[in-house]
Amino acid sequence: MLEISIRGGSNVPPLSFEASPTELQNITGQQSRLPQYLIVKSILELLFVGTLAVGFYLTAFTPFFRGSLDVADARTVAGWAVYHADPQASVEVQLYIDGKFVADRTADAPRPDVRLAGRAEDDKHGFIFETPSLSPGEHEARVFVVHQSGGGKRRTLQLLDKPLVFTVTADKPPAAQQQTEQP
Amino acid sequence: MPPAVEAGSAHVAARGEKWLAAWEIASVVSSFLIVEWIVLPFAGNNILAAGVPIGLAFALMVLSHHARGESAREIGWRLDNFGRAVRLLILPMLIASIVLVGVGLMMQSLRLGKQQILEWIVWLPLWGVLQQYVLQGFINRRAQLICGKGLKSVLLVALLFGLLHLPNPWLSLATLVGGVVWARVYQRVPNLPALALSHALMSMLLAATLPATALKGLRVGIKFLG
Repeated sequence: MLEISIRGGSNVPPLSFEASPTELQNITGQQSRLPQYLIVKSILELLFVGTLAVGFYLTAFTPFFRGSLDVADARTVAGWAVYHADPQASVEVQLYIDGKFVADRTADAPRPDVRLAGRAEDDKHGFIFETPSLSPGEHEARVFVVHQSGGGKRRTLQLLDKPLVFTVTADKPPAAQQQTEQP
Repeated sequence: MPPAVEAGSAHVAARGEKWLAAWEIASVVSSFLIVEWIVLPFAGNNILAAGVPIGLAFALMVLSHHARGESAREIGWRLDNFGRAVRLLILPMLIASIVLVGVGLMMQSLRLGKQQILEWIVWLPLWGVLQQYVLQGFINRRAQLICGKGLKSVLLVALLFGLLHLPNPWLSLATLVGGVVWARVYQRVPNLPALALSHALMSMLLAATLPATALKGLRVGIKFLG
């Protein structure tokens, strides 16, 4: 039996062994594997975090919705939205004007044209927001669809179609400047 | 082994040894940070997902003990020095208890529900054992290889313990202070059951005295931010 105390400096505690030379050789051999263990662990963790990130992206951010923002003017903002995974479900939509939240509602207004175009299985996928009073000038309307993931614990907003820019004049309500995809 | 060769190689080995120990600490701490800051926001409360980095950390710790030839007794899984460790812990625990109860009385936040105490009795000792094993049985031992026994390694352990409880300010402060005491006691008398018991009791007292709004249910990492 050997009793060996290795000291690496005045402030380093002794690493004491009470072992036979063979045992000591085994311990030293095992210790040389530590960097390998650490590298393997780092690689596994990296793969795990990468998988988690990709999985998160796929479940939370990929486009799940189809729809259109058809009209935006001083009176209304309207369009339709359908959820790919459940085409019969009515989805929740939120209106933002100039980056500020205005209102949210369920897109369940009748839109037979959407069904006739083969984009939905029933009529109830339209939405109409009443435009709030706005100052004269250019404004931008964006409609987001609320997507729930993680068993409903996580809610992400996905932009529906392209934003519409419209002008509000002091005297009369203007017509929409842009018409997008029709079903 | 000839003494001259051993002395020379010991010096070189000590340098590499320090880096290796630092790498081991960083690896284990990063696993817990991954759970607190990445798994919880990405995978919610999925225990399986959280189990991957924690499992890897524990696997590394076990392999490291084996590779370094550390016995369970050396790590602190023993009872022969339990009384000595408890004696060292009593005074700081008493002082901490007086401070916490005082704060609780001042802020009128003392609360002790029977159901809550029963829940704590079940899971806090287990939680204490796991945390103290990681903190002292692994990190403290590796910290001693880097900085030696004493203030530097004690502070390193305490700072890492506090870091793992960020951004909860009260909990980070409490774990920093607790970390100093527990790391110091461990260096003098390595006994994990006594430290786990102390950890459980102090956690219970902390949760029962400080305002719930300040502690936010002892949440840490991304969970603290809501």
